[in-house]
Amino acid sequence: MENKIYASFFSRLIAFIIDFLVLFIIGALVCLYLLSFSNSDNFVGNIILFIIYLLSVHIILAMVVNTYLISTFGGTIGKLISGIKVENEDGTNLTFKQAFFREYIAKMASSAFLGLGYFWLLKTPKKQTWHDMICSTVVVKKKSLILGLVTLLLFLVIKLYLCVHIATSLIGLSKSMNTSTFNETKYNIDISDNPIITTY
Amino acid sequence: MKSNLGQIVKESYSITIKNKWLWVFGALLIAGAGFNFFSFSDSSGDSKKEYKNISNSVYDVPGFPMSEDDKSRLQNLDAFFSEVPENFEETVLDEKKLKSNQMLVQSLLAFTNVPKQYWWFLVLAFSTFTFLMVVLGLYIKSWASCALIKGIDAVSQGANIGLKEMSSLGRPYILELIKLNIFSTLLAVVPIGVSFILIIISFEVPGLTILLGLIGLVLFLASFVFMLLVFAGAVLGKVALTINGKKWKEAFIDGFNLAKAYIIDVIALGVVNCCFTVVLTCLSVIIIVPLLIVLVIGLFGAALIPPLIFVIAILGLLVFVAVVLLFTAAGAAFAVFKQSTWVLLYKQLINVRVNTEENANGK
Repeated sequence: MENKIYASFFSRLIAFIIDFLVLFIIGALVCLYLLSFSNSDNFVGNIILFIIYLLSVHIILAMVVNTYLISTFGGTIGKLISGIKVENEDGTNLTFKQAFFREYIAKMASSAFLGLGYFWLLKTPKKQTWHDMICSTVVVKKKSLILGLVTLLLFLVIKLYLCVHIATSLIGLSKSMNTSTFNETKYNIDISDNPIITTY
Repeated sequence: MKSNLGQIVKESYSITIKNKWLWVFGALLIAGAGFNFFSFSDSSGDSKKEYKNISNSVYDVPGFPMSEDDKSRLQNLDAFFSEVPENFEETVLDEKKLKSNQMLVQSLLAFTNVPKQYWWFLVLAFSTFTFLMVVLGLYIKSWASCALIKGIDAVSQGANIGLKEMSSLGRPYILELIKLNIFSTLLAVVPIGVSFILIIISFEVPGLTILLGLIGLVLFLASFVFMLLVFAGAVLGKVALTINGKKWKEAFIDGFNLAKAYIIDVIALGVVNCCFTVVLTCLSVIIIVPLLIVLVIGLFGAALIPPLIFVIAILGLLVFVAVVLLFTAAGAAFAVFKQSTWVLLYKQLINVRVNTEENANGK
């Protein structure tokens, strides 16, 4: 009955690196997109847009998406690509609540002693980390590379669409609302009156 | 004193040493104990020098009578300085400052160009993020606390308990514990705040400064004692909530009454824990300072012999990791120890109370 192959330390590390890279690449793309139409006038505005992106899409949305992916498909994009799956010890999928608890609360226990809890899988028979032990979960090998790649593609498309949509709509909104006030604000400050600038 | 402090300390030590899984939650407790806030330094002091009317200060220096000729020369000097423009310092003396001023103006212009709704979205995103992090932090801290108390309780009864059991036994009480923590913090802080406000108001009312100030001071001292009692009650209430499965209000009242009835025992244990904290802090300083000195000397030595830099860097990194691990372990173990002392004190005091009640009923 027990014919599960538990995921090794390295396959879990690779999954983590892929997850990290996906988020990093998306962040970099958004940053490049915002920089591409930056000038001295809207530079600060674009920095603020990037911070909004980091706080909302990059962190909060990623939390929700990761939890959803784990509860539905058994793993984040990295895990799905590297062919590993998180499941309960009895083989069932995690619920949304369980997945959130495992990812964002129980993992704090593993991180407590400089990440000692992550290395604990090297000495347990079921290759469980501390957060796995707390949540009674195991990470097993499953061949689901295609599912992972499809999910990655979908995730990339959705997230980039969201970012571009939010950014362009915010920029459009600001342009339409501030056409008059924007210029007034800009030219009300007459720098020729400023002795510092004049003398320079 | 009704409790046996020696036995509590001894048993707490044995519980801490016996079950290392407790340390995981101890580490989580100390990790979630502090919230860091950014501090801003205020450098708004005006350093601009006054170039005009320099001579005014030397016209009438007592003990130094001045001739008419000197005065007229000084007045000429004044006339010269009055022609110096206001921005003399910026324009002539300091080109670097001039450039930085220009950059400042440009930055201000860039900020005024930011559309208003961006700021609103930023505030919204930041508030949501902060709220989420605070809630998560509270949840994690309460979870660690409940799991630890359950673990200590089980170990003190001779049971062997793992991470999973501790976590699942503690989880049902997390929300109640959060409520208790918020309530006790508010209850402790509000009187202190009121007394502070009273003291501040006393400075604004000239006729009643002394009276209001005295009332504020007395109130402040009373609030401080009340705060200590509330915190002691909250600590015991936490134990009552987790071990006996009481609701937060009931648990707090129970803990508060217990702390009030056996105040000497509670204070004594608080002092013992404080002493241990001081000893631990001193020990950590004694370990850290020589290590830092060795590391600095090593780095200087390595700077003289370049090939040694890698060796020293690796050694330094290893030492750093070891020190961090050591201190996390020590901190976690101490958190477990402290929590154990409170759990055991609560149990002893409950036994004392039951015995007293039984004796009273028997008589």
